[in-house]
Amino acid sequence: MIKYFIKNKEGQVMFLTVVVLGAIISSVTVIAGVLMSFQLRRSADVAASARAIFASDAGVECMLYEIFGTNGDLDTAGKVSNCEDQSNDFSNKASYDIRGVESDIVEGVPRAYKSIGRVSNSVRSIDIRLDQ
Amino acid sequence: MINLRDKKGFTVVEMLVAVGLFTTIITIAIGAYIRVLKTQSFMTSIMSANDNVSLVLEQIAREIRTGDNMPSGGYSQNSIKFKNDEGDCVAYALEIDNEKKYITRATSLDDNCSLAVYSDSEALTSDNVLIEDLNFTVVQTVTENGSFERVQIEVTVNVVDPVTGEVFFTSQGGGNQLKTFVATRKYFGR
Repeated sequence: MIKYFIKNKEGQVMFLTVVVLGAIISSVTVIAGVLMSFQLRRSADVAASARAIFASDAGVECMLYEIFGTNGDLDTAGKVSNCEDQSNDFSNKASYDIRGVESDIVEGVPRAYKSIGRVSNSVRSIDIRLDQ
Repeated sequence: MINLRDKKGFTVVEMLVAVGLFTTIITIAIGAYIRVLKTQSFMTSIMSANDNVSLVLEQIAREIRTGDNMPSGGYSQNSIKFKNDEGDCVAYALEIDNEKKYITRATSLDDNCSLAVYSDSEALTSDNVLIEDLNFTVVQTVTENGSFERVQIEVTVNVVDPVTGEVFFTSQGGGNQLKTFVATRKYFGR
């Protein structure tokens, strides 16, 4: 019986066809899926990026407002203290973190600030330097 | 003389399987390609809409920064009126026209902004942008140096096909909500 199947090779063409084409179908599907996931991730990043930039901008505005408007001070972590008291976690899931740049402090007062806006994995920052 | 019966070839079953699989592969490949093209087009639309709204937000923020006569603290509406750096009364608002929603800017040369009649209203956002929501909230802080205003601007953006009017949601929950704060700079000269 086994000998009969081995000798009868006419079915090999169909078998090989099924295996090879099955592999091709799987490859095409996987590649298409990966491409789609990349595209979707990029499109989500575009929206999140814009939110992060505006959150970062809000941090800079807060710092300028506190320092020039209400004499805000820095806390021990180098953050603009009053900006930390503000609600900096936005309802659109964005947040900002503004603090003085440690390497650019003159007489205990930072001359430069870095505001980091975050939305999930998207992080955007704006640096601002105050020249005297 | 050629005897066709001696020639060996594929069986009908083999041919059917081969043609069936080929058709399936082509269908999947073309479908995937079309979906990638559509996603690419959608992504370009989102980027274009975001760029447009970002520019508009920058313009509003810049005019508020250098402006004066802001509404008092607690104000929260979809429009705002104030006096810009050149002394003109400016109004930014959410306008709805034929199911289209966009941000407009209008000016008035009247000295009294609250009673001014605004004219020359122009749309700032483009046709492929759908402004779902716009809100200005004023936070006022009174200090020994005076009272200072911070304006919170919230814009919810979606993409719309200018031809068919079909709306594409740019984010889960109905739209991409951009939010920022702007502080007036009138105190910089103190």
